[in-house]
Amino acid sequence: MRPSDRVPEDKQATLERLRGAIDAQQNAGRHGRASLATGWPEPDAAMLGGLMFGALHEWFGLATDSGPARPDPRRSPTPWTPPLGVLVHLAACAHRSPSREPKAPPVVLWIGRRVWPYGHTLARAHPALFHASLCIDAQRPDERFWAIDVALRSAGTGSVIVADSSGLPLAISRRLQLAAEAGGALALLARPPCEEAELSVAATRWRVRTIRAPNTAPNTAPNTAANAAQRWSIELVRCKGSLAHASHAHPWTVERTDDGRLVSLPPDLVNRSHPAALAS
Amino acid sequence: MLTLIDRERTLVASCCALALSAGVRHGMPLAEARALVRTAIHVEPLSPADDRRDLQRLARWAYRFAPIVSLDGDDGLLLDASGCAHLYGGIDRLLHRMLHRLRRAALHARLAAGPTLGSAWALARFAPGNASILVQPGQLDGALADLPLAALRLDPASIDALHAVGVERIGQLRALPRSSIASRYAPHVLLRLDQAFGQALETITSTVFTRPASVEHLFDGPTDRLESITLATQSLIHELAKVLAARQRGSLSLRIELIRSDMEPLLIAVRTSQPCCDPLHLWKLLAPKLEHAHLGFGVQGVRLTVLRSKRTTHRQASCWPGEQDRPAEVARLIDTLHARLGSERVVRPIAFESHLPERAFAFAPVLEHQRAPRPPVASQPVQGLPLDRPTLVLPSPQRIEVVLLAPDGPLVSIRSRGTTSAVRTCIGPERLAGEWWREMPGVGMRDYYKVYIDDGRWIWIFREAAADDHAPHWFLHGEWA
Repeated sequence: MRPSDRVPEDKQATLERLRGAIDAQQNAGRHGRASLATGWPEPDAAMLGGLMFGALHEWFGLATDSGPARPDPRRSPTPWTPPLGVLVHLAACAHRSPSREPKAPPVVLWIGRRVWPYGHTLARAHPALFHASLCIDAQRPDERFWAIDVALRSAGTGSVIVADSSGLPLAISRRLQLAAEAGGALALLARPPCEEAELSVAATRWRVRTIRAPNTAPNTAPNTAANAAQRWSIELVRCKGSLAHASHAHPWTVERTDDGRLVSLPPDLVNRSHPAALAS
Repeated sequence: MLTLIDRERTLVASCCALALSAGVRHGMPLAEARALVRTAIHVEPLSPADDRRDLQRLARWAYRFAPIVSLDGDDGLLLDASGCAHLYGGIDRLLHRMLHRLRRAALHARLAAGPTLGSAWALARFAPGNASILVQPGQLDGALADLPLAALRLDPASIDALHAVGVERIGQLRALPRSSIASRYAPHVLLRLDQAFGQALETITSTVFTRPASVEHLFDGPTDRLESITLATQSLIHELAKVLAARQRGSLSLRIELIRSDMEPLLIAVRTSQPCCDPLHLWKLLAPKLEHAHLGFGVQGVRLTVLRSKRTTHRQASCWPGEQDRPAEVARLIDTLHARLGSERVVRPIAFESHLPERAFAFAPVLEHQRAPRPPVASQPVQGLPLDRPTLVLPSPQRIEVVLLAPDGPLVSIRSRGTTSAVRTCIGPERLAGEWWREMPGVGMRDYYKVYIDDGRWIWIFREAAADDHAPHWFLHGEWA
């Protein structure tokens, strides 16, 4: 049969209907669930509103160069630090968000000793966050994943779960995603940067990196606002149900303010030279 | 003879009538008492907890004579038998019957009945003569007049003050003008006097006894089938939940006893953070522990006992679907985590009054910390917070080496664990001194610097002055991750 260039009228209608059904299917999860605005306009726009509740969000953390000397790289993996500043910021956002039930603010669980932030950071980000925090010391991977699973499944807690998820296999990530969907909790999983190639079913994947200093003479410039700012670059590597991240390929820059919050910087502000340097 | 140990000496705390007649007195060294008695005598250490438990058993027994029974100190019972005497044919026959029963149980007790609680207390402890004393309302003045002042339940300081002016008997005190007693002595002197003579009201609160909720199931013979034990335990938990619900109480600490043949019973404990009478939740906490239980040669029975319980609060049932009780859910989550990981690994942050970064914040177990009062700072941790601290603080500072442009000059590079990093920016110093009011060897004057190194990280390092004019030591203490 010769393929025809024109699609008949009834087939056109069927295609339209199918397209609508697929759209509805793809956005069903998104429209049904609340999302958490991160407070950073560009990432929120890329995610069509914010981080979805009832889903896994992976944050690939910071590599540390000054780790212990390791004789066998297979035995001791690359040392890394979870992006605690970003994670505390998001937990504080979840606490502030007015759309959630105002009567009982969510509990924030920090699973794995590696992601326990310093108490000062919690209190500074939001006083209520300090009291709502619960830290679980689970060292072995099986204990960690069990604790994440239990926390995600306890439906009524409406909790935010921040967990050290290094070594998370695909099968367990599927199970955790189902648990998150069942419980409606927000799961922020911190993972080492060396695991970026591993597969998982997380709704979003983020890469957080430190910003290397420009190669100037060491410690000679005066301490001005521009070179004393604490900045990180965050990049949306994957966002399920949205192709928007492809158009936002460049990483965004977030900066810590004096009151301990993280704000995103517009791109033109990031690369701007310091006024003092411009004047000279 | 019961003994107690005071300043490494064994003293007589209590003794029987035989020993008393031989001249043994309370507080006497045991060796001296043994020398006085000369015959074989049973000596045992004093156990206040056991005494208390036996006294409570006696109080429970005494409920058959009077509707209101209360413990009085460590060695007495108060009974309010108003309106009960005629059931026994008069108060004297009631006393006689009680004394007879107590003697049959080999207990040497002194009983006294009086028109007021104060008078009965005084007569039972201080009146000479019989083991059972009955005083009618009209004889009260005469019966109490010769008793010492201690019979009025006064404190030693007031008794000493009255002895100093020559008042040693209740009759003498009663002869003094009331106005001078009120102005010269503690207010309770007059109150106790009035209570003894029925001029002031005194009531006692009845002790309420509840048996700990306990259920058990005995098998026909020893079994090592886990299914049978599991099913029996499940049905017992449901039974226990009904008992608790009827009492409007929830279990805080539950003990499961597996009675094993030819072995000591195996005890399993289940603790919850909130009073719980939900059988499904209790079973969820217990099930993993039961699976790992060592059944030995077989289990003959299972016994569940609630060791600690608390009154449950009433909650309004929710009408709308999806509306859940969040605090209860959180408590269940804590219990589940606690049951597998242990109390030391489910913690919450707490704040302390300290400016030293490693002491200012700590983690405390959730279950223990709920009962303990919070430190005052913890309720308002935002107030008085220092300006900037890293997101990650090492529990103990790590030694690093630094290169300075000149002695006490700007930092050039840092060497930590074999890696050298050039310093781009350095902000500081922030000086923190050790806490002189606390003995903390090793914490001296610290100068903290916020340092931006060339791989893009912000780290927190400090310089600590070394003793003996040596070069100062440098430490890595945290990171803004």
